[in-house]
Amino acid sequence: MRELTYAQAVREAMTLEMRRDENVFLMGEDVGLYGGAFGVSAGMFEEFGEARVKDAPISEAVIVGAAAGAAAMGMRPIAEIMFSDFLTIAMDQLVNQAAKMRYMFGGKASVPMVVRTASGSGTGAAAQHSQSPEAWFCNAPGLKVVMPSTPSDAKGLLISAIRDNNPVLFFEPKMLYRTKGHVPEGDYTVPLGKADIKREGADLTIVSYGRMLPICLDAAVQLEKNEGISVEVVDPRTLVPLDKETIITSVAKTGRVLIVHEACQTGGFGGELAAVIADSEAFFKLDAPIRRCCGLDVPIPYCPELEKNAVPDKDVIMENALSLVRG
Amino acid sequence: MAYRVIMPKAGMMMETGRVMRWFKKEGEQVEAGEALLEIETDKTTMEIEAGESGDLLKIRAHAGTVVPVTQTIGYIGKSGEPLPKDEPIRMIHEKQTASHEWSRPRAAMRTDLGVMATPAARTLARQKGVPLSSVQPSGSLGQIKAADVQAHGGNKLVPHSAIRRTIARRMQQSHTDIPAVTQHSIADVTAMMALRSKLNAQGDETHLTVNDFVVKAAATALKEQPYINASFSPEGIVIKDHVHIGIAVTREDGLIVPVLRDADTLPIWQISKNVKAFAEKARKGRLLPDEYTGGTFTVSNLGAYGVTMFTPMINPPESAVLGVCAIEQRLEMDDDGKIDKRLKMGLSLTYDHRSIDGAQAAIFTARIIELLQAPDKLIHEKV
Amino acid sequence: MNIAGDKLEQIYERMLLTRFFEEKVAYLFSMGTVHGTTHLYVGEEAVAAGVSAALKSDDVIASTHRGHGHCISKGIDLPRMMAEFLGKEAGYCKGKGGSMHIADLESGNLGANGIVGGGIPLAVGAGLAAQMQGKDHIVVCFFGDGASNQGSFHESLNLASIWKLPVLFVCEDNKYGMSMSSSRSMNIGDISLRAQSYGIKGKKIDGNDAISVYKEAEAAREYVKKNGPMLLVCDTYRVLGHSKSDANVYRSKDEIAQWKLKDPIERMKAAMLESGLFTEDALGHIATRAKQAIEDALKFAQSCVYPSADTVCDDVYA
Repeated sequence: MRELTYAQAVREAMTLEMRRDENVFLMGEDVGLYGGAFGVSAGMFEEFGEARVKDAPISEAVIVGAAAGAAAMGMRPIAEIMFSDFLTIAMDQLVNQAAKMRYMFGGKASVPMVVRTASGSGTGAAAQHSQSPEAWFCNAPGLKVVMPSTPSDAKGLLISAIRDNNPVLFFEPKMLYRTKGHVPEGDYTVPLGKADIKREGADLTIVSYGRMLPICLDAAVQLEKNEGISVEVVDPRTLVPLDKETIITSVAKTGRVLIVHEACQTGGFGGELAAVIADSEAFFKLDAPIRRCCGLDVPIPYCPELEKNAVPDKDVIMENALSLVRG
Repeated sequence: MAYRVIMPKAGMMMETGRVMRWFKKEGEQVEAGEALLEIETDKTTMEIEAGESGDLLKIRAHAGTVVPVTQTIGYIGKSGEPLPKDEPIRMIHEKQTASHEWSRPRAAMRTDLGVMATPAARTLARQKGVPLSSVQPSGSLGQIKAADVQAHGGNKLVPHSAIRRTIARRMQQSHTDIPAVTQHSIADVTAMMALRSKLNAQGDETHLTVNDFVVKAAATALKEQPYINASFSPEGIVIKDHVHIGIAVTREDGLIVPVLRDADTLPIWQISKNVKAFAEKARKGRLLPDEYTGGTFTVSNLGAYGVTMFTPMINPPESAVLGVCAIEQRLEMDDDGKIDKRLKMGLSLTYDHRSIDGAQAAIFTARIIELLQAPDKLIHEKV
Repeated sequence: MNIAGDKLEQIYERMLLTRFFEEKVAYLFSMGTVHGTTHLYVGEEAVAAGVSAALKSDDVIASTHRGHGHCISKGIDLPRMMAEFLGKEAGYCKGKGGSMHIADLESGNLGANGIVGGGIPLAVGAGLAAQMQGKDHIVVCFFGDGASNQGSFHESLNLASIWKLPVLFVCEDNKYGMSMSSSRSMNIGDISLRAQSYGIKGKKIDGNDAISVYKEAEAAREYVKKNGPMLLVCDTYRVLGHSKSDANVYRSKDEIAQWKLKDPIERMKAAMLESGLFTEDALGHIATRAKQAIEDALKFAQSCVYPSADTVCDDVYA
């Protein structure tokens, strides 16, 4: 199997779907001639032309709103919002219009659109270009929220998202764009709403997604090698709808859980995960508190040393894991 | 051309250094040998002297920055002199340790809220009818854990080590998946033991064990009987093209099976050496994954413990395992009525009956016995 | 006048239906029988009726929170609209939308919208879809003077202008946001000037002259099909408050009285009589018919059941 970067995998998903279905098109800032701020859509303008790879002005509200309107009328747009921090400019169109339309209209409308956006810190882009705001959108019924952690997941999930008849918010952690992984060729889907056990284990469950997931896997390998601790790592992949069963089963098996995400801890999605676990059969198997090890409650600082401090790293993850298992 | 000031590699393991402070400003004059800047290495801080006299034309890495060793951090020369073209400076940003209070584990718990016990402990206590107040907590914060409830009343719970978990999984799989049959046979090893004593008394480093003879004989027989050196698969029997024999080694925390690769190509002395080396490594936990995977057949020797017969378990995806038992003295009477003292050794061959039939197994064991009973051939390689 | 009698009748009937619907709604509210709030279109009927009369059946509209007039003039089924208004299961949105979210995508109605300016980007999207699908229809986006100050308005006109989307932006300038008059909320006196910022055509017309609105809308429709987006600003006035809780403290009784003199329905009536195609009697019949239609719609709606509690989680996702 060949290796692709995460960015290439995303591009491949969009390209395959646009070849397959003429209703799919891409719209966003600098996606056409420039090939995307992160190079994700490079080459697509050349293949599909400006009719289907549309450069938009700096107008997040109408980018998302026009996507919603076009979707309601039968198209399948992919709207790109360059940095997830900018979703705030399109909040009304995303949350009040796209998410609610179907319900408000008694099921008479569907909005088959995808909003793709680059999220997360680590590139020195500082506070207004580094947020991981996925939690806000998990509280807007009607939206689906996805954040893949590997290239093969990214491709399969994006194809599923494009084919889904609901508005899907697709977060691409920008620090993962250059990571490589095996990606199957051709058409395949990874279902939305299905978690993936990325590593099996018996002593502790780590639930993580996005940029933190590979770091958790590294921590798991080291914990096994150095400490003889067997760690199971579960990647929800889709936050809404959440695959609760897989998570509950895993925590019931190991009796211990550590939740890791780069978004700020307070009000972050980890709270939702913790509550789901606490109010389930897994509760009676818990032999340690449900712990979160997530981003600090700060806007992301500029200075690289501080930026690193704002999110968990392998050491603090391992420290928390050890304390849960041995404490 | 101006002279380069570089971050020196001031230690064998040093990969980066931090510029602490420059003693001179840009444009200032400096003499060769004068202290120019202070750096911090992985071990210590030290002063770096200027290598040449001139003006400090440019500082590339200012105080506080961490750069890889040998990177250019400044230039000395005559004012107006051209600077060499260097790669842009690569600064390393190290994370400083911060105290993220809430993403680090707690140091203490409140003591005013009653007995602290985990849900799992509580469930277990309820099931066992054990009052939590009577259970001794082992948690570092004073909490009662499930193991504490288990231990209450004398039982001891030993958590699984990684190796125990692996053995349990593999043996379960072997038991469930493979229809196994064991055949017990006996080899007359009188001649073999005599030969062994003779060779070991030679005075060189040779120290052949009983197992070395068995492994050599097995390797030979496997080469001749490829269906034993195979794996069962739904599509067919996969006949392996190499003979890699796993030799079971006992450790305190569980069994491990280092693999002797291409055992059929090795003379018995080499087998003996390799097996000893492996066993040593295995006991010290130093085997590499390459060295305990890929086997096509296993030999497991319980002779040292006096076992006379047993049913060893097959190591999936192999198809057979040879158990070697204790050597016992027997008195035998031949046809003429003469009584002789013979040494007999039990062999227990367990085989996967999906791909190996009784007769095949029997023939295989018979061949091993034939070789063991004519041990000269094993030594002189003409078999 | 050069307008066919049946077209005049269509416009007049729709204006009356709208007026009577709104009056009925106001009455129901005053009786305490309706939940929530609503935003009445009384005094603005000419805009919705006039513009809609110029549209083809596959043209798409996007409406506002003050959208009953747009829905009725687009040709919505009145009983089901009234049922939705009362929150009944048989309503257009199964009782899930209510006054501010009445929609009928099948007949090209992208729906009323509870967010000021919220429907404008959606209309642009519908225009984009029409263009990409090679369709022949246009999209009409209704919004108010207040919405023309929203970021979404500006982003939408800009995008429609660069991509030449077939969208007719119709601004119902009724002189007030909620309580803030447009003379206080913007630094220009003529909203149609904003079209210049986007290099598109803008025109201001008398929004209370239904026939004029119809003619201008017809011309605008042709223009948009050939040239891309256009901004049509209709001067009008809402006679009742912003919503049911509006005490009208921000405007004078005089002002309201002045505008009542320019009542669009009275003016339409006069024009129809002048055309010689209609008698007072005939017009009276149309009015009676319209009143009856509203009564029938209300009877239907009142007889319908509310959606069962089990349906609360339905239709979140497709």
